[in-house]
Amino acid sequence: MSPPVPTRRAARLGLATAVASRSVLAASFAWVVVLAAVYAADAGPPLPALASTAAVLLPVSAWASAAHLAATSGDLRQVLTAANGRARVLVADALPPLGWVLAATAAAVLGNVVLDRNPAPATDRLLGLLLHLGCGLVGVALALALHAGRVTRGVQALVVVAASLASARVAWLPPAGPVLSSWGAGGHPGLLAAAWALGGPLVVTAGLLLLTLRLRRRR
Amino acid sequence: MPGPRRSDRYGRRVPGAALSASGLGFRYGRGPWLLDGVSLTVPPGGLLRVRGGNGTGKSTLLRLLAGPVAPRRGSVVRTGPVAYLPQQTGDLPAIPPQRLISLLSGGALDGVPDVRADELSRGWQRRVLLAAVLGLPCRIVVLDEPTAGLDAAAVAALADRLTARLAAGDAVVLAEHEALPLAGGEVLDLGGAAPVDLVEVVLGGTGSFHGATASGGRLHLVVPPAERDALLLAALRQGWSVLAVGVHR
Repeated sequence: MSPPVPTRRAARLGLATAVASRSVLAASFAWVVVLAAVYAADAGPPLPALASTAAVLLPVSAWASAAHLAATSGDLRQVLTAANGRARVLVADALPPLGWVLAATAAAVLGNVVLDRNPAPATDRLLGLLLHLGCGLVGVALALALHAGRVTRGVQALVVVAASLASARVAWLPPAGPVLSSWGAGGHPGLLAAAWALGGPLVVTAGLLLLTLRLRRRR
Repeated sequence: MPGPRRSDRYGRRVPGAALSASGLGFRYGRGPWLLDGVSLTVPPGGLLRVRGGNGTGKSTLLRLLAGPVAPRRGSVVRTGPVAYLPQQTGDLPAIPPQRLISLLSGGALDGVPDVRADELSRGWQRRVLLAAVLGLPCRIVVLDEPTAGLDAAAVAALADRLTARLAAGDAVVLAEHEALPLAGGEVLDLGGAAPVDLVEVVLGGTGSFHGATASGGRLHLVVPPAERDALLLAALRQGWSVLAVGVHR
Protein backbone atom coordinates (compact mmCIF):
# COMPACT_ATOMS: atom_id res chain seq x y z
CA MET A 1 0.00 0.00 0.00
CA SER A 2 1.49 3.35 -1.00
CA PRO A 3 1.60 5.94 1.77
CA PRO A 4 -0.69 9.01 1.61
CA VAL A 5 2.40 11.22 1.55
CA PRO A 6 5.07 9.62 -0.67
CA THR A 7 8.36 9.34 1.21
CA ARG A 8 10.17 11.29 -1.49
CA ARG A 9 7.72 14.19 -1.07
CA ALA A 10 8.05 14.02 2.72
CA ALA A 11 11.83 14.16 2.38
CA ARG A 12 11.50 17.12 0.00
CA LEU A 13 9.41 18.86 2.65
CA GLY A 14 12.23 18.30 5.14
CA LEU A 15 14.81 19.47 2.63
CA ALA A 16 12.82 22.61 1.80
CA THR A 17 12.58 23.34 5.53
CA ALA A 18 16.31 22.85 6.02
CA VAL A 19 17.18 25.07 3.05
CA ALA A 20 14.79 27.80 4.18
CA SER A 21 16.05 27.76 7.76
CA ARG A 22 19.73 27.54 6.71
CA SER A 23 20.07 25.26 9.72
CA VAL A 24 23.00 23.22 8.45
CA LEU A 25 25.15 26.13 7.28
CA ALA A 26 27.21 26.28 10.49
CA ALA A 27 27.98 22.55 10.46
CA SER A 28 28.83 22.70 6.75
CA PHE A 29 31.20 25.59 7.36
CA ALA A 30 32.83 23.70 10.25
CA TRP A 31 33.38 20.70 7.99
CA VAL A 32 35.13 22.86 5.39
CA VAL A 33 37.32 24.30 8.15
CA VAL A 34 38.25 20.76 9.31
CA LEU A 35 39.26 19.74 5.78
CA ALA A 36 41.18 22.98 5.29
CA ALA A 37 43.05 22.45 8.58
CA VAL A 38 43.97 18.85 7.72
CA TYR A 39 45.20 19.65 4.22
CA ALA A 40 46.72 23.08 4.90
CA ALA A 41 50.08 21.35 5.33
CA ASP A 42 51.34 17.93 4.28
CA ALA A 43 48.68 15.57 5.62
CA GLY A 44 50.85 12.49 5.16
CA PRO A 45 49.70 9.29 3.45
CA PRO A 46 46.08 9.47 2.27
CA LEU A 47 44.62 6.65 4.38
CA PRO A 48 45.64 8.00 7.82
CA ALA A 49 44.48 11.46 6.75
CA LEU A 50 41.15 10.07 5.59
CA ALA A 51 40.79 8.04 8.79
CA SER A 52 41.28 11.23 10.82
CA THR A 53 38.72 13.25 8.90
CA ALA A 54 36.28 10.30 9.03
CA ALA A 55 36.55 10.28 12.83
CA VAL A 56 35.77 14.02 12.91
CA LEU A 57 32.76 13.52 10.62
CA LEU A 58 30.91 11.77 13.49
CA PRO A 59 30.32 14.89 15.62
CA VAL A 60 29.95 17.20 12.61
CA SER A 61 27.30 15.03 10.94
CA ALA A 62 25.51 14.72 14.29
CA TRP A 63 25.57 18.51 14.50
CA ALA A 64 24.20 18.95 10.98
CA SER A 65 21.49 16.35 11.61
CA ALA A 66 20.49 17.86 14.96
CA ALA A 67 20.22 21.29 13.33
CA HIS A 68 18.06 19.87 10.55
CA LEU A 69 15.77 18.03 12.97
CA ALA A 70 15.42 21.11 15.17
CA ALA A 71 14.33 23.15 12.14
CA THR A 72 11.58 20.73 11.14
CA SER A 73 8.08 21.03 12.50
CA GLY A 74 6.91 18.75 15.30
CA ASP A 75 3.32 19.25 14.17
CA LEU A 76 4.13 18.12 10.64
CA ARG A 77 6.01 15.13 11.99
CA GLN A 78 2.88 14.07 13.89
CA VAL A 79 0.75 14.52 10.78
CA LEU A 80 3.19 12.46 8.72
CA THR A 81 3.42 9.75 11.38
CA ALA A 82 -0.35 9.31 11.47
CA ALA A 83 -0.50 9.13 7.67
CA ASN A 84 2.67 7.21 6.82
CA GLY A 85 3.75 5.36 9.96
CA ARG A 86 6.84 5.80 12.11
CA ALA A 87 9.29 3.91 9.92
CA ARG A 88 8.58 5.97 6.80
CA VAL A 89 8.75 9.21 8.79
CA LEU A 90 12.11 8.12 10.18
CA VAL A 91 13.32 7.53 6.63
CA ALA A 92 12.03 10.94 5.54
CA ASP A 93 13.71 12.56 8.54
CA ALA A 94 16.99 10.81 7.80
CA LEU A 95 17.19 11.41 4.04
CA PRO A 96 18.25 15.10 4.08
CA PRO A 97 21.00 14.48 6.71
CA LEU A 98 22.14 11.45 4.72
CA GLY A 99 22.38 13.67 1.66
CA TRP A 100 24.52 16.02 3.71
CA VAL A 101 26.78 13.11 4.76
CA LEU A 102 27.18 12.07 1.12
CA ALA A 103 28.17 15.61 0.17
CA ALA A 104 30.58 15.87 3.12
CA THR A 105 32.11 12.49 2.20
CA ALA A 106 32.53 13.53 -1.41
CA ALA A 107 34.19 16.76 -0.30
CA ALA A 108 36.56 14.88 2.01
CA VAL A 109 37.61 12.32 -0.60
CA LEU A 110 37.88 14.86 -3.39
CA GLY A 111 39.86 17.13 -1.09
CA ASN A 112 42.20 14.24 -0.37
CA VAL A 113 42.61 13.43 -4.05
CA VAL A 114 43.35 17.03 -4.96
CA LEU A 115 45.33 18.22 -1.94
CA ASP A 116 47.17 15.13 -0.69
CA ARG A 117 50.07 14.62 -3.09
CA ASN A 118 51.37 11.47 -1.39
CA PRO A 119 51.08 8.44 -3.65
CA ALA A 120 48.49 5.85 -2.67
CA PRO A 121 46.43 3.19 -4.43
CA ALA A 122 42.86 4.01 -5.36
CA THR A 123 41.66 1.38 -2.88
CA ASP A 124 42.92 3.57 -0.03
CA ARG A 125 40.63 6.36 -1.11
CA LEU A 126 37.76 3.97 -1.62
CA LEU A 127 38.33 2.72 1.90
CA GLY A 128 38.42 6.32 3.10
CA LEU A 129 35.08 6.91 1.44
CA LEU A 130 33.56 3.92 3.26
CA LEU A 131 35.00 5.10 6.58
CA HIS A 132 33.46 8.54 6.11
CA LEU A 133 30.10 7.02 5.26
CA GLY A 134 30.23 4.77 8.34
CA CYS A 135 31.12 7.58 10.73
CA GLY A 136 28.61 9.93 9.11
CA LEU A 137 25.85 7.33 9.42
CA VAL A 138 26.50 6.95 13.13
CA GLY A 139 26.40 10.72 13.54
CA VAL A 140 23.01 10.93 11.82
CA ALA A 141 21.62 8.03 13.85
CA LEU A 142 22.95 9.49 17.11
CA ALA A 143 21.25 12.82 16.36
CA LEU A 144 17.97 11.06 15.52
CA ALA A 145 18.06 9.11 18.80
CA LEU A 146 18.84 12.21 20.87
CA HIS A 147 16.10 14.17 19.11
CA ALA A 148 13.62 11.37 19.76
CA GLY A 149 14.65 11.38 23.42
CA ARG A 150 13.75 15.08 23.56
CA VAL A 151 16.89 16.03 25.41
CA THR A 152 17.96 19.66 25.36
CA ARG A 153 20.40 21.03 22.78
CA GLY A 154 23.07 21.37 25.47
CA VAL A 155 22.73 17.74 26.55
CA GLN A 156 22.74 16.68 22.89
CA ALA A 157 26.03 18.52 22.37
CA LEU A 158 27.53 16.96 25.51
CA VAL A 159 26.51 13.44 24.49
CA VAL A 160 27.84 13.87 20.95
CA VAL A 161 31.17 15.27 22.17
CA ALA A 162 31.50 12.54 24.82
CA ALA A 163 30.62 9.80 22.33
CA SER A 164 33.07 11.20 19.78
CA LEU A 165 35.90 11.41 22.31
CA ALA A 166 35.16 7.94 23.70
CA SER A 167 35.03 6.44 20.24
CA ALA A 168 38.29 8.13 19.27
CA ARG A 169 40.03 6.89 22.43
CA VAL A 170 38.65 3.36 22.77
CA ALA A 171 40.09 1.18 20.03
CA TRP A 172 37.15 -1.23 19.79
CA LEU A 173 34.34 1.34 20.03
CA PRO A 174 32.77 2.19 16.63
CA PRO A 175 32.78 4.20 14.57
CA ALA A 176 36.04 6.10 15.12
CA GLY A 177 37.99 3.75 17.42
CA PRO A 178 38.42 0.78 15.07
CA VAL A 179 38.99 3.15 12.13
CA LEU A 180 41.80 5.03 13.85
CA SER A 181 43.39 1.95 15.39
CA SER A 182 43.27 0.11 12.08
CA TRP A 183 44.34 2.80 9.65
CA GLY A 184 45.12 5.94 11.64
CA ALA A 185 48.84 5.13 11.91
CA GLY A 186 49.13 3.78 8.39
CA GLY A 187 49.18 0.12 9.47
CA HIS A 188 47.59 -2.88 7.82
CA PRO A 189 44.95 -4.41 10.10
CA GLY A 190 43.84 -8.03 10.11
CA LEU A 191 40.64 -9.15 8.47
CA LEU A 192 38.63 -9.19 11.69
CA ALA A 193 39.74 -5.70 12.72
CA ALA A 194 39.02 -4.32 9.24
CA ALA A 195 35.60 -5.98 9.20
CA TRP A 196 34.74 -4.49 12.61
CA ALA A 197 35.99 -1.07 11.53
CA LEU A 198 33.64 -1.15 8.54
CA GLY A 199 30.76 -3.19 10.01
CA GLY A 200 30.77 -1.73 13.51
CA PRO A 201 29.28 1.61 12.39
CA LEU A 202 26.45 -0.26 10.68
CA VAL A 203 25.73 -2.21 13.87
CA VAL A 204 25.74 0.98 15.97
CA THR A 205 23.57 2.78 13.41
CA ALA A 206 21.00 -0.02 13.39
CA GLY A 207 20.90 -0.01 17.19
CA LEU A 208 20.44 3.75 17.36
CA LEU A 209 17.65 3.66 14.75
CA LEU A 210 15.81 0.97 16.72
CA LEU A 211 16.20 3.10 19.84
CA THR A 212 14.84 6.10 17.91
CA LEU A 213 11.75 4.18 16.81
CA ARG A 214 11.18 2.99 20.37
CA LEU A 215 11.52 6.49 21.81
CA ARG A 216 9.19 7.96 19.18
CA ARG A 217 6.46 5.49 20.15
CA ARG A 218 6.37 6.97 23.65
CA ARG A 219 5.91 10.63 22.78
CA MET B 1 1.52 -3.69 34.24
CA PRO B 2 2.07 -4.37 30.57
CA GLY B 3 -0.86 -4.18 28.22
CA PRO B 4 -2.49 -7.16 26.59
CA ARG B 5 -0.72 -6.41 23.32
CA ARG B 6 0.85 -3.59 21.48
CA SER B 7 -1.03 -1.40 19.07
CA ASP B 8 -1.29 -2.57 15.48
CA ARG B 9 -1.04 -0.20 12.60
CA TYR B 10 -3.26 -2.17 10.31
CA GLY B 11 -4.11 -4.95 12.69
CA ARG B 12 -7.06 -7.30 12.96
CA ARG B 13 -10.21 -5.48 12.01
CA VAL B 14 -13.19 -5.26 14.25
CA PRO B 15 -16.10 -6.12 11.94
CA GLY B 16 -17.77 -2.93 10.78
CA ALA B 17 -15.18 -0.63 12.37
CA ALA B 18 -12.90 1.82 10.62
CA LEU B 19 -11.14 2.61 13.88
CA SER B 20 -11.35 0.78 17.17
CA ALA B 21 -9.57 0.87 20.49
CA SER B 22 -9.65 -1.56 23.33
CA GLY B 23 -8.61 -0.99 26.93
CA LEU B 24 -6.41 2.01 26.09
CA GLY B 25 -4.17 3.23 28.86
CA PHE B 26 -1.50 5.90 28.81
CA ARG B 27 0.70 7.81 31.19
CA TYR B 28 3.75 9.98 30.72
CA GLY B 29 6.81 8.28 32.19
CA ARG B 30 5.93 6.93 35.62
CA GLY B 31 3.27 9.57 36.27
CA PRO B 32 -0.39 8.91 36.99
CA TRP B 33 -2.50 7.19 34.37
CA LEU B 34 -4.01 9.91 32.19
CA LEU B 35 -6.20 7.43 30.34
CA ASP B 36 -7.13 3.96 31.47
CA GLY B 37 -9.48 1.38 30.08
CA VAL B 38 -10.80 3.48 27.18
CA SER B 39 -12.54 1.40 24.51
CA LEU B 40 -14.33 2.73 21.46
CA THR B 41 -15.35 1.85 17.94
CA VAL B 42 -15.90 4.23 15.03
CA PRO B 43 -17.61 2.72 11.98
CA PRO B 44 -17.13 3.98 8.42
CA GLY B 45 -19.17 7.16 8.11
CA GLY B 46 -19.25 7.46 11.90
CA LEU B 47 -18.55 10.58 13.92
CA LEU B 48 -17.06 10.47 17.42
CA ARG B 49 -16.87 13.67 19.45
CA VAL B 50 -14.39 13.56 22.32
CA ARG B 51 -15.17 16.06 25.04
CA GLY B 52 -13.84 16.87 28.46
CA GLY B 53 -12.21 19.56 30.54
CA ASN B 54 -8.63 20.71 30.27
CA GLY B 55 -6.12 18.01 31.11
CA THR B 56 -8.55 15.12 30.87
CA GLY B 57 -6.60 13.47 28.07
CA LYS B 58 -8.53 14.43 24.92
CA SER B 59 -5.44 15.26 22.92
CA THR B 60 -3.56 12.27 24.26
CA LEU B 61 -6.44 9.99 23.28
CA LEU B 62 -6.45 11.42 19.75
CA ARG B 63 -2.70 10.96 19.43
CA LEU B 64 -3.12 7.34 20.46
CA LEU B 65 -5.94 6.85 17.97
CA ALA B 66 -4.07 8.58 15.15
CA GLY B 67 -0.80 6.81 15.77
CA PRO B 68 1.97 9.29 16.66
CA VAL B 69 2.04 7.80 20.17
CA ALA B 70 1.66 4.15 21.11
CA PRO B 71 -0.55 3.23 24.08
CA ARG B 72 1.05 1.85 27.22
CA ARG B 73 -1.89 -0.51 27.61
CA GLY B 74 -4.44 -1.84 25.19
CA SER B 75 -4.51 -1.62 21.42
CA VAL B 76 -5.68 0.51 18.53
CA VAL B 77 -6.74 -1.02 15.23
CA ARG B 78 -7.03 1.15 12.12
CA THR B 79 -8.20 0.04 8.72
CA GLY B 80 -5.90 2.48 6.97
CA PRO B 81 -3.76 5.58 7.37
CA VAL B 82 -5.08 8.54 9.34
CA ALA B 83 -5.42 12.21 8.44
CA TYR B 84 -4.52 13.76 11.78
CA LEU B 85 -4.59 17.39 12.86
CA PRO B 86 -2.60 17.83 16.08
CA GLN B 87 -3.67 20.27 18.73
CA GLN B 88 -0.47 22.30 18.97
CA THR B 89 0.46 24.56 16.10
CA GLY B 90 2.83 27.44 15.75
CA ASP B 91 5.96 25.72 14.56
CA LEU B 92 5.23 25.50 10.86
CA PRO B 93 8.39 25.63 8.73
CA ALA B 94 9.68 28.81 7.11
CA ILE B 95 8.47 27.94 3.61
CA PRO B 96 5.57 29.34 1.56
CA PRO B 97 2.27 27.93 2.83
CA GLN B 98 1.14 26.86 -0.64
CA ARG B 99 4.35 24.85 -1.02
CA LEU B 100 3.75 23.28 2.38
CA ILE B 101 0.24 22.17 1.42
CA SER B 102 1.40 21.05 -2.01
CA LEU B 103 4.24 18.92 -0.62
CA LEU B 104 2.11 17.42 2.14
CA SER B 105 -1.08 16.63 0.30
CA GLY B 106 -0.76 17.90 -3.25
CA GLY B 107 -3.60 20.36 -2.70
CA ALA B 108 -3.94 24.13 -2.47
CA LEU B 109 -5.73 26.77 -0.39
CA ASP B 110 -7.16 29.98 -1.76
CA GLY B 111 -6.55 33.36 -0.21
CA VAL B 112 -3.51 32.53 1.90
CA PRO B 113 -1.42 35.63 2.67
CA ASP B 114 1.78 35.78 0.65
CA VAL B 115 4.19 35.24 3.53
CA ARG B 116 6.10 32.29 4.93
CA ALA B 117 4.09 29.68 6.81
CA ASP B 118 5.82 30.48 10.11
CA GLU B 119 4.88 34.16 9.73
CA LEU B 120 1.15 33.51 9.29
CA SER B 121 -1.30 34.37 12.04
CA ARG B 122 -2.36 31.54 14.33
CA GLY B 123 -5.70 31.28 12.56
CA TRP B 124 -4.11 31.05 9.11
CA GLN B 125 -1.56 28.52 10.33
CA ARG B 126 -4.46 26.43 11.56
CA ARG B 127 -6.23 26.75 8.22
CA VAL B 128 -3.09 25.84 6.28
CA LEU B 129 -2.46 22.74 8.37
CA LEU B 130 -6.13 21.81 8.22
CA ALA B 131 -6.17 22.16 4.43
CA ALA B 132 -3.10 19.96 4.15
CA VAL B 133 -4.50 17.33 6.50
CA LEU B 134 -7.93 17.22 4.88
CA GLY B 135 -6.25 16.89 1.48
CA LEU B 136 -4.65 13.58 2.49
CA PRO B 137 -6.25 10.53 0.86
CA CYS B 138 -7.19 8.89 4.18
CA ARG B 139 -10.52 7.32 5.13
CA ILE B 140 -10.01 8.06 8.83
CA VAL B 141 -9.91 11.69 9.97
CA VAL B 142 -8.80 12.63 13.49
CA LEU B 143 -8.92 16.34 14.29
CA ASP B 144 -7.88 17.87 17.61
CA GLU B 145 -9.87 21.03 18.29
CA PRO B 146 -10.10 21.93 14.61
CA THR B 147 -12.11 25.10 15.19
CA ALA B 148 -9.52 26.73 17.46
CA GLY B 149 -8.50 30.03 15.92
CA LEU B 150 -10.89 29.77 12.97
CA ASP B 151 -13.44 32.45 12.08
CA ALA B 152 -17.11 31.63 11.53
CA ALA B 153 -16.79 31.28 7.76
CA ALA B 154 -13.92 28.83 8.10
CA VAL B 155 -15.87 26.88 10.73
CA ALA B 156 -18.85 26.64 8.39
CA ALA B 157 -16.62 25.52 5.50
CA LEU B 158 -15.03 22.91 7.72
CA ALA B 159 -18.43 21.64 8.83
CA ASP B 160 -19.55 21.31 5.22
CA ARG B 161 -16.38 19.48 4.25
CA LEU B 162 -16.62 17.05 7.16
CA THR B 163 -20.31 16.46 6.44
CA ALA B 164 -19.37 15.48 2.89
CA ARG B 165 -16.65 13.14 4.10
CA LEU B 166 -18.98 11.51 6.60
CA ALA B 167 -21.51 11.01 3.82
CA ALA B 168 -18.76 9.43 1.70
CA GLY B 169 -18.13 6.87 4.44
CA ASP B 170 -15.06 8.35 6.14
CA ALA B 171 -14.73 7.92 9.90
CA VAL B 172 -14.24 11.18 11.79
CA VAL B 173 -13.00 11.72 15.36
CA LEU B 174 -13.03 15.22 16.83
CA ALA B 175 -11.81 16.61 20.11
CA GLU B 176 -13.76 19.75 20.85
CA HIS B 177 -14.17 22.43 23.44
CA GLU B 178 -16.49 24.45 21.24
CA ALA B 179 -18.82 22.13 19.38
CA LEU B 180 -18.42 22.00 15.62
CA PRO B 181 -21.83 22.40 13.98
CA LEU B 182 -22.16 18.85 12.68
CA ALA B 183 -25.29 16.79 12.94
CA GLY B 184 -25.26 13.64 15.07
CA GLY B 185 -22.29 11.68 16.24
CA GLU B 186 -21.45 9.74 19.35
CA VAL B 187 -20.00 11.62 22.31
CA LEU B 188 -17.17 10.30 24.44
CA ASP B 189 -16.99 12.47 27.54
CA LEU B 190 -13.74 12.19 29.46
CA GLY B 191 -15.16 14.27 32.31
CA GLY B 192 -13.63 17.22 34.04
CA ALA B 193 -16.07 19.77 32.67
CA ALA B 194 -18.82 21.32 34.78
CA PRO B 195 -22.33 20.30 33.70
CA VAL B 196 -24.02 22.90 31.52
CA ASP B 197 -27.73 23.54 31.82
CA LEU B 198 -28.12 26.17 29.11
CA VAL B 199 -25.90 27.63 26.42
CA GLU B 200 -25.84 31.27 25.37
CA VAL B 201 -25.10 31.94 21.70
CA VAL B 202 -24.32 35.42 20.38
CA LEU B 203 -24.75 35.81 16.64
CA GLY B 204 -23.68 38.73 14.48
CA GLY B 205 -25.98 39.99 11.70
CA THR B 206 -29.30 41.64 11.04
CA GLY B 207 -32.87 40.40 10.83
CA SER B 208 -34.60 37.58 12.66
CA PHE B 209 -33.54 34.05 13.47
CA HIS B 210 -34.90 31.32 15.73
CA GLY B 211 -37.80 33.50 16.82
CA ALA B 212 -35.68 36.46 17.89
CA THR B 213 -34.65 39.71 16.20
CA ALA B 214 -31.16 41.15 16.15
CA SER B 215 -30.49 44.42 17.90
CA GLY B 216 -27.41 46.52 17.21
CA GLY B 217 -26.06 43.84 14.91
CA ARG B 218 -26.23 41.18 17.60
CA LEU B 219 -28.65 38.41 18.40
CA HIS B 220 -28.59 36.66 21.80
CA LEU B 221 -30.09 33.18 22.06
CA VAL B 222 -30.26 30.76 24.98
CA VAL B 223 -30.72 27.08 24.13
CA PRO B 224 -30.22 23.65 25.74
CA PRO B 225 -26.78 22.15 25.04
CA ALA B 226 -28.32 19.42 22.89
CA GLU B 227 -29.71 22.02 20.47
CA ARG B 228 -26.54 24.07 20.21
CA ASP B 229 -24.90 22.29 17.26
CA ALA B 230 -27.97 22.32 15.07
CA LEU B 231 -28.64 25.98 15.91
CA LEU B 232 -25.07 27.02 15.05
CA LEU B 233 -25.13 25.10 11.79
CA ALA B 234 -28.43 26.68 10.77
CA ALA B 235 -27.21 30.15 11.73
CA LEU B 236 -23.98 29.82 9.76
CA ARG B 237 -25.84 28.60 6.71
CA GLN B 238 -28.17 31.60 6.87
CA GLY B 239 -25.24 33.99 6.87
CA TRP B 240 -25.01 34.79 10.56
CA SER B 241 -21.59 34.93 12.17
CA VAL B 242 -20.98 33.31 15.53
CA LEU B 243 -19.59 35.92 17.92
CA ALA B 244 -19.62 33.88 21.12
CA VAL B 245 -20.80 30.59 22.59
CA GLY B 246 -20.76 30.15 26.34
CA VAL B 247 -22.52 28.92 29.41
CA HIS B 248 -25.72 30.83 30.25
CA ARG B 249 -25.58 32.28 33.78
